[in-house]
Amino acid sequence: MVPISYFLVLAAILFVLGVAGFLFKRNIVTIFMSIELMLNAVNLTFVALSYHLRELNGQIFVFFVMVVAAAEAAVGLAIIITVFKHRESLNVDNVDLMKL
Amino acid sequence: MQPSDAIAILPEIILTAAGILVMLLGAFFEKSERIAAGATYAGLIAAIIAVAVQFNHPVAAFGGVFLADSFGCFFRLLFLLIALLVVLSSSTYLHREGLSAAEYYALLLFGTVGMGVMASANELILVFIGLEISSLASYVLVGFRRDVPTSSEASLKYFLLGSFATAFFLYGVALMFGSTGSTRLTQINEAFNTALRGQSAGTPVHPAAANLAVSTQFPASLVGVAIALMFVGLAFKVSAAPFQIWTPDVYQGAPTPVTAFLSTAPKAAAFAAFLRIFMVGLGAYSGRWSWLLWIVAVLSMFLGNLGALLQANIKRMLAYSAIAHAGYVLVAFTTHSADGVAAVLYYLVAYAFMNIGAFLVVTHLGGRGERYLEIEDYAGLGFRFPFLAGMFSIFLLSLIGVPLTAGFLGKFYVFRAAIHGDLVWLTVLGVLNSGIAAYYYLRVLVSMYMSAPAREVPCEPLRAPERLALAISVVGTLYLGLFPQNVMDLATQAAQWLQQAR
Repeated sequence: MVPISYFLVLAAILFVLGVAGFLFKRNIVTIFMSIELMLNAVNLTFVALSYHLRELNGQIFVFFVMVVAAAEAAVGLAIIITVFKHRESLNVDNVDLMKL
Repeated sequence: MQPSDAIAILPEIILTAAGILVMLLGAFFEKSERIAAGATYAGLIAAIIAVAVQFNHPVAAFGGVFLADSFGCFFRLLFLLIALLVVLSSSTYLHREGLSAAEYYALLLFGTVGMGVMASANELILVFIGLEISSLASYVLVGFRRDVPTSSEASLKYFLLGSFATAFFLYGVALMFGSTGSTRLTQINEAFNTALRGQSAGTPVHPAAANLAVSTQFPASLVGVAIALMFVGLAFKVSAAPFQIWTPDVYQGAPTPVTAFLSTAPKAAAFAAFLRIFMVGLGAYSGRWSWLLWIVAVLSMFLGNLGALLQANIKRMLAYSAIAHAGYVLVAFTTHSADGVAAVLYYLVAYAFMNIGAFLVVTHLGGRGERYLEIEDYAGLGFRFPFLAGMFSIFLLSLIGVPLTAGFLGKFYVFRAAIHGDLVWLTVLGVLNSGIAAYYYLRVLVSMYMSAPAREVPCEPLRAPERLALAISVVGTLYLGLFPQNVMDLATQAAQWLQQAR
């Protein structure tokens, strides 16, 4: 039996990887994927804790998160397409019309 | 689902049905603007009635997951009122910019549903669902002028940073679930109280004290991390510094009526969730988070006000001022007393009226394609359009916090609560900031009344819906400044309800 801490640490590592990807990647789609990675880290945490606490709720929450992530992907990709149409580029450094 | 559950979420059902209807009308009718607007008004008014009826009959629906109490109803009424004002002020704008009215109204309605859910949720997952419903609608609304590069850019920034913050919030929820075995706010509170009582009595918490007691297998720091993560997510949504980076860009790029909406409704909804989670769920740990609020409040006030000083674009200036106003609200929140919560609610209502009014004038003067948004364009406005300039002056004076306006009493209640809560330094810094803020609002006033026009700014006459929205905003601003008692009573009632729930 694998102890719970292994799962939690793995999830934490995934979450931090997501945060790092969000901060350092320059491609919009990759940034979006980093956010999805963060959400999946949360899902892993939920499932592990739910198994550990013998509470089924946690597993149901994962479904909610997945559905919301799917809706977010639909909206997000549409937004990315409109940005791409204006700029012909997916580099976030080019998205700089408004600055201080 | 029992009948009483359906009654508790009746406003949300009405709004969803109205939203779907509006979308269908948009799909099937060529000239759908008027019909869609009519259906939207009908839905909003029906929902307002449904909430008003519930006000004095608190219901815990769906096994206590959804609380239609006076706190939730206060906020839902506020959201519906804001949505109504925004719909009234957008019809001319949509026509002028050639945007599809039906989709716009439907998104506003769906967004309002999400906010209503957030304000009434007694369950962290439901807060998350509500947050996402309202956020997804607002991401699209921000990018509604698809042909304009700044609009889609604002939408992208809002979407990426918004989802980033949501992921933080969600991770906090997961860890909170891990440390207490529940995501129900009242149960989390119970678990903490049990754990704290166990500590103070000198007996360690029994490891097998059901799922609810704080599990001793997890270090107490896990609770701290969970609180911090949820705090980051929510602070982002209320655009508090240092999580405010997105605010100026998004508010500048969004269509102006949408900016008016964003700066009031989703922010109020985030505050509602913030208050409920921290006051009810984490009330026992107030020592751990009130200093965080202190820092964030001070930072928001300073960054917002100092940033606004440098702006030449009026929308961007109002965006920075929105950050500062979030700071004032956080001052009241820092007290975590019933007084403070009532002040938060009062301030949010006052801010809604004056800010929507100000943005309405900005929308109208912006002209086709939002060309006239520089502060220079407001030069000489007082002579050319005395009525509009007069209205704008009232809103700006209220944003400064001049007596007889809503803004003054809002600040008064906030700082009074802070003094009662022994937050003397925070009050001093807050009052100092109101002084800084006066400068950039007065700059606009001075340029309106004391300088010659820099360039010719055309201005069409106001249409009927805009007039009505303007009248409601002005009357609301002055009413709240002169007769605060009725609204303050409701706010106090809602705040006490929140205190009881602990």
